[in-house]
Amino acid sequence: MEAVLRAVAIYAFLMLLFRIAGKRSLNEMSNFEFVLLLIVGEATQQAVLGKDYSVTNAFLVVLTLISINIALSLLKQQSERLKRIFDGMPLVIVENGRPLKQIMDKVRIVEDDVLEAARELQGLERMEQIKYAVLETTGIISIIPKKE
Amino acid sequence: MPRSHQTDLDIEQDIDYHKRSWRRQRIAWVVMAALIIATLLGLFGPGLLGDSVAGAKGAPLWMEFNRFGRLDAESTTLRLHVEPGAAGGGPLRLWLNRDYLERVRVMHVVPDPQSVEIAADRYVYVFAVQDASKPTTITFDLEPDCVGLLRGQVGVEGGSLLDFSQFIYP
Repeated sequence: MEAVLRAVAIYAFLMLLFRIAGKRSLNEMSNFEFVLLLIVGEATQQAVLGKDYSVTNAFLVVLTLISINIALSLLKQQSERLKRIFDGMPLVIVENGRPLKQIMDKVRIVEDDVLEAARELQGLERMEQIKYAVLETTGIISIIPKKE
Repeated sequence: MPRSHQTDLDIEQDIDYHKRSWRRQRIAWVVMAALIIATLLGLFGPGLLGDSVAGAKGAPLWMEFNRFGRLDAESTTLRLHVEPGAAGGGPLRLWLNRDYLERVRVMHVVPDPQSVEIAADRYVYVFAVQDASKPTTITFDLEPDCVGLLRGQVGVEGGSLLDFSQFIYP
């Protein structure tokens, strides 16, 4: 019983924390953020497993975490409201080559991030070539180029 | 391999294969949910199904124990209740059979025994009891050392004994 409860508690806590941290956190990972993610994993591992290092406990914890994920994905499919709560919504950050500064500041994105995505995804060179840049719910910036 | 007929994509696609795997997935989800419910109920450790009692409550000796334990986890507790008069006069001499104790590691005994005596088929834990007119509870925290069915016997020397069995998961 404890294995399930521990897994649920840690899942809920991490879900809440990463929603608070924002979409861009740990998405485009720097070396430091990668290390941070490892430390988060190490710290939560202690809390999830407790002193029980049995194979059964590991199975039950993993089973619970995956099951919560499946259950949430099914619920999100059923309810738009739940999907918004757990995943957030996409956000337009560049419109017709014009960066929406106020919005970008709120989501902690600078023009360089947009240009980097534009170069990587579409091979674009300048902001004016972008029709729309969208911060997706996954934290990725997607780029729609202007038609030549 | 059948290829997609609807598009020009050069892609291997077999929709029947996907349908079969979706069906299997749904069945697996139900099994997963059932396992989680079973875990919450105590099929793999403490809980409604896992908590058990040996002997009748209120008898001279009765015991609460976990029916299911896990290997290498401090997951099993024997809580022995000794009612007044079960031990007679003098120190309380509780024993556990040796076969059982050779398959578990005793992590803590609360309260600490005064001494432990080793007999041919049992270990005798001796506790000093100041007031034998009050019930006493002795707790053994154990870490199972083997997988499978464990059978144990516990008793008060010169008094009643209890048989119990546990299943240890890997």
